[in-house]
Amino acid sequence: MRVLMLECEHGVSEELKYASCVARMYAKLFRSMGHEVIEVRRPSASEATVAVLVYKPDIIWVVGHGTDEVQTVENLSEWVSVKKNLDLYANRIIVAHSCFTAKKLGEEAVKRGARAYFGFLDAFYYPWCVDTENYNCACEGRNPWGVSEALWYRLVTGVQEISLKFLEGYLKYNDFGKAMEYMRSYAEEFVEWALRYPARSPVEESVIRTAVWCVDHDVDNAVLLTPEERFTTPLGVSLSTSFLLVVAIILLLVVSIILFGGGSRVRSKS
Amino acid sequence: MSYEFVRKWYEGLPPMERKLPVLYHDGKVYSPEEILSEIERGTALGEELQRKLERLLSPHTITSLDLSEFRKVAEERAKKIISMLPKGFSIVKISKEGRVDLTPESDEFFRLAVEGEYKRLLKIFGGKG
Repeated sequence: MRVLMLECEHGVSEELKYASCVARMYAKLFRSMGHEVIEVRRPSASEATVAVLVYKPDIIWVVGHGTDEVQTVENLSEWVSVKKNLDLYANRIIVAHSCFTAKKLGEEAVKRGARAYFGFLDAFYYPWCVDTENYNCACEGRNPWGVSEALWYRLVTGVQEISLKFLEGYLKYNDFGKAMEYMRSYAEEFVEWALRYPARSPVEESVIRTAVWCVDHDVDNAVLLTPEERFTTPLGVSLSTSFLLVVAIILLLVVSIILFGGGSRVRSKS
Repeated sequence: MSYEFVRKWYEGLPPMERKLPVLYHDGKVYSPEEILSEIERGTALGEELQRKLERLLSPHTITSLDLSEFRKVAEERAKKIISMLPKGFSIVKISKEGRVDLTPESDEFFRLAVEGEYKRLLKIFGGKG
């Protein structure tokens, strides 16, 4: 598959680097899995549009600030909204690493022809260093908190991996349900690892805990919208699958009532 | 539930959990370490805590009152953890207002913390949540 990764870095400052530096690692992984990956670093809205039109990707991964209706890219420039450029999402799988966009933008994208939309229903939270004072502590482990570099590296990158694990799962299995399951299992393993990490100090314990709060919250708000189904994290079962199960059970009950009812009438007659 | 069962439960918890409040009783919160210590010393309080723990760890025995107590315990856990965070620490969200830094003093940070700790308590008591 052809994957376009829109790796924005600047929103208000450099807060998007925390996701895009992790995305670059995953780009290598996806290539090693045999997929074609195009990375565009710090795209403006028009560069992002051109990239989609030129490369015609099957999947777009994008990090940027979001609202219910708008996806922004580098420097908060508005790229796609319910009113603008939504055709860029048609026939594609969108993986949006941004707050809130699964609410309306995702729904609208799917209505207007997107194959699927992975996004978040609420704010996406993550631990960081205040970047005006600490550049590049996203993917390097350096931090001003007195937390060991190896631990900090794992905590800051781990939170950012949620959308990328979904994408990895999809590229592996070519199945939306399995991809969501893959992402959930990753989050559970991360939390289990973090809670059992042998912290050296109360500071490390509290920072670990903060990362766990973020992952718990973000995963619970991750959602995959497709034209047929809505996969949500807390339930673990798509709503339409649940509906089909209920219908099947009702049908079985009706059939058994008819069969048993008919049988008893026949017996009573004889 | 025997003392051994409580001890096993305690040892199965991640070390980080053992010092955090886990049980609400008579207006106070108790950590697994404190519960174990009371039971080991054979106090009346230890007996009461053990009874409560036994009920909560049994399947299908969590009531709505327990859930509201979990909420109180979660708040205490959140306060304790937040108090240990390093000076200047914050988390960030990439939201509609652009980048928003949430300091540990903010209500939103506290809500996130309480929600996270509430989920942990549900996990501890029966793998729920």
